Amino acid sequence: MQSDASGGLPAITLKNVHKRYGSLQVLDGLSLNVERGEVYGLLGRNGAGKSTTIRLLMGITQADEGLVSLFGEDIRHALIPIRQRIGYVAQEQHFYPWMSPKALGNFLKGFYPNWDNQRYAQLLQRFELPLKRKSAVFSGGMKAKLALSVALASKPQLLILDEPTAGMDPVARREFLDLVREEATQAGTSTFFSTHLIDDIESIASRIGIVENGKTIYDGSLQALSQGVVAYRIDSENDFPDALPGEFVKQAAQVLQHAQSPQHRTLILKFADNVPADVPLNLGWYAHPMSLEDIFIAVVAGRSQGRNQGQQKWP
Amino acid sequence: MALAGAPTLLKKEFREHGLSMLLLSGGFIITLLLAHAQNQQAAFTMSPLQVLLLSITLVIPLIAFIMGNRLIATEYLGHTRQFVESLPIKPLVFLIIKYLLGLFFVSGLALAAIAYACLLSDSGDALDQGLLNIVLVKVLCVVFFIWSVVFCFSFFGFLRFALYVMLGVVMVTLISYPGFDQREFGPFALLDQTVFAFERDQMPIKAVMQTLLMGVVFTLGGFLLPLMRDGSLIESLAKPVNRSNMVVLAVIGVGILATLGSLFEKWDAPEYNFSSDHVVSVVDPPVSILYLEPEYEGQSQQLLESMRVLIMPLQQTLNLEVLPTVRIALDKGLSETDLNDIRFGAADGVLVRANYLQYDSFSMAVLQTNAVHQLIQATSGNRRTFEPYHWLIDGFTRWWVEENLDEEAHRTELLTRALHSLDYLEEPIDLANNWQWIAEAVSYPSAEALAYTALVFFEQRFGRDAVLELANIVLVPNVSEDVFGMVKDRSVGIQSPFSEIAGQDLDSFFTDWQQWLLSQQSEPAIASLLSRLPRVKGIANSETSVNGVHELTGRYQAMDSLAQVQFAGFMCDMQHVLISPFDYEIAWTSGEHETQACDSSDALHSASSYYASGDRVFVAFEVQLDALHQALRVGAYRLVVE
Repeated sequence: MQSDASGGLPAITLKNVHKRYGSLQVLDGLSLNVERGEVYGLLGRNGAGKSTTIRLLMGITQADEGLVSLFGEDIRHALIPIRQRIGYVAQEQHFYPWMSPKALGNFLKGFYPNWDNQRYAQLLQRFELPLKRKSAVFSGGMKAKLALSVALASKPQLLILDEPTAGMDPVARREFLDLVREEATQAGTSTFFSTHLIDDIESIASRIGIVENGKTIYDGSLQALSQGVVAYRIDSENDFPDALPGEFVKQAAQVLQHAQSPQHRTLILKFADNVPADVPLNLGWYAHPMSLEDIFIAVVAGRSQGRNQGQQKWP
Repeated sequence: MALAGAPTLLKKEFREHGLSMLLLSGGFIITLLLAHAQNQQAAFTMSPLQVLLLSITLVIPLIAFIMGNRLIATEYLGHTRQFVESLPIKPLVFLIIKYLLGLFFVSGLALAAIAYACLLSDSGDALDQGLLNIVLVKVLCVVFFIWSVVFCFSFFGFLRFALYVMLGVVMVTLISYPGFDQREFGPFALLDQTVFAFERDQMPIKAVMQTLLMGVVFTLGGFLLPLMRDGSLIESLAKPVNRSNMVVLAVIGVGILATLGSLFEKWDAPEYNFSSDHVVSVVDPPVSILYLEPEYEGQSQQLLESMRVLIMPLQQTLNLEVLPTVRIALDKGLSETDLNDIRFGAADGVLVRANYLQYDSFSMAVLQTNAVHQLIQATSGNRRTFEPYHWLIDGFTRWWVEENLDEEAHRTELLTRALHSLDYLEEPIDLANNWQWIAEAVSYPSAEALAYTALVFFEQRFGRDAVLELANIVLVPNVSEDVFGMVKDRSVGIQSPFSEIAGQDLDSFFTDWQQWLLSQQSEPAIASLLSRLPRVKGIANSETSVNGVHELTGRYQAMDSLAQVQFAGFMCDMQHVLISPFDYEIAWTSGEHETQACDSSDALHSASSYYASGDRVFVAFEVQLDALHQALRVGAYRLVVE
């Protein structure tokens, strides 16, 4: 692995990053940190700014404002040495169609000083990718695997994946994520990946960020997120106007979602800290279990609702 | 670090496009060889540098287009650029490699074409370092410009085709625009076929700078476009043209056409016409005569009628669909033997100025021949005066006029002149391939007389219809003046149609004709006239005198060294003009004359004060005598002043 003079500086630092395409504000003060060895998943809806964030990290595009730093260095000032330390898997693979994996390896080793041919061959073998067949005939999943093989063969310190498993079949997806997890745990490679697939996040991320409308609306561990968001429900026959699960919610919680159905009413709340344990609930109220996907939707929807309404409203 | 990855990328480009480059090079070389081979076998040959010009004009843009398509358009349309832009390499390096690879490749081919042209050039081309430098600069500038345009346009995705079409339209428009002198502007000037292979003194600095500037603009455009808006602009352009794009393109296209239409409307100037009231004219065939003062109306009417009678059957016989207007303007400032013809574009027809008031029948025939000559030249796209056809157009026009007039005296004078000129030409006389040299050696009137007698002999041997058929096939087709017309024209030639009509080739025909011509000197009228013509040869002498003065003098001596020179009151005229090192047709616009009463003194003429040592000069000696209507040339030389 390449010598690392940047010591313990974060693998990625984004500070108050703004990016605009014409009249469209894509990033609006995005900030996040990815520590060394961390697997960071960036969640967000389509158009939330995930791909732009990755393009900024790769130095493909420049921020209008704010800091984009990798290994403690501004990407604008050290584009090539930084890229040599990054393994990148794009959302869509655009390899030269006439290149076979072998030719691709020969081509790419000229760009990466730490290129490891042996590792590359192992990875190709592991993914059962034909060495001499042109990539033009590869399926989308095969191309993604080839991209990951290429990314890892350069022995990167940081792996950046842009929605890499989108469109993959379950088996290929599993193989892909297994390798990413393995790389993170065994080689200590920092990993930053964007996705809108909650399962991917649950599968490998040690920390997540949720981006919405160009801003980070959550940055923390999965555990903290799942512990900080909770749904309280009351059945219709027990419900009455202005009923709340308890007075505690007024001090510590933000309403992410307030939903009414003929059968019941649900309040999804986000607490600044963890959900208070063993808090007595008012009569008829009970905690409703939430999946990570429910939480993500609630967080994102709550953010939009809050933005639209200007302030949170208690029932 | 700035160029990190560049060698790898370059290697990739060679791997990806090497075979195509090889095939393109092979194709280019084969085209070049074929073009030169065809040139050497063609009825008339061009300088190898002119063939080079053709290759630069026709083939290099095509190769540049293919390379631009492969190197750039495919990369951007196929989105492989997105893969490369995530690699540890600066986007600018990626672009520079593509730009330079294309530029060097196309320039390399152009240099190979220049080298081959140099290899084939002979003494006639007088290729020296100066000419080579100028050609090199011109070609490389044009190649740079072509590649810059292709480089820039290739980033426009599918829209690039529309851009090429628009560029083509703009170029054609500019070339067609009367107010735009293409010989003065940028790449048009550098590729001007009238000077490309001949200009050896003046480096066209202005045109070079204009071309380079335009090339730089396109190059910068090519580099900026993919870097603008972080490449998102290029990504948009790489998308297939959708309906709204088509609408925008259609609007732009209609806008351009409307603009051009209005411009062309402005250019569509009314046909040139005489503005005087003193004009007589007929509409069919279109002939106008300007006579300046009322008292000359009668003579002008006669001339008009004679022209009408001459041209009307010509149109029918040669199936000429549209005739340009023939205009003859009275110019009393001209001598009786001078004609001044002005060639216009096809729309404006033919204009000849002449002082026709005192013309006798022979001089009138000369005038009519000139007008008919111009007319055929205009209807055939001005290409019929090229070497292999020139004798035919000269001979046919005179034959047509004389057939109409049917004057025995004219025939006698023309045959006598032709016979007299034989003494000044080397045998065998090849009218088709040595027309310019023949005309230079014996002057155009005598060359025309030779061609006329050849047509008379042709008629005697093969009949009148054969003459008309030959004229129909060789002289009538209108071949455009552009490079395509030139290529098409060269593929036809005169040998093949002549052989088909006459059943013999041109060489054997010319041999037979010379024998026939010589046999005509026994005719009493011809023999009589011939005996009155001086059999002298003008001799030019260039030497440095003892006091270091460069002297150029002229004298006359008898053709037969034993004979005495009999001048009998003739006037002798030495004409001289400075010429360039390259042997092209001499335009007698700035020449000098020195006319003296003829005698046999050693230095009857002197032009010593005109030229410096090393100057190349054309000198011609002519004798003016009453027996003939036009002077007899008795010597012509291209020489270097000692």
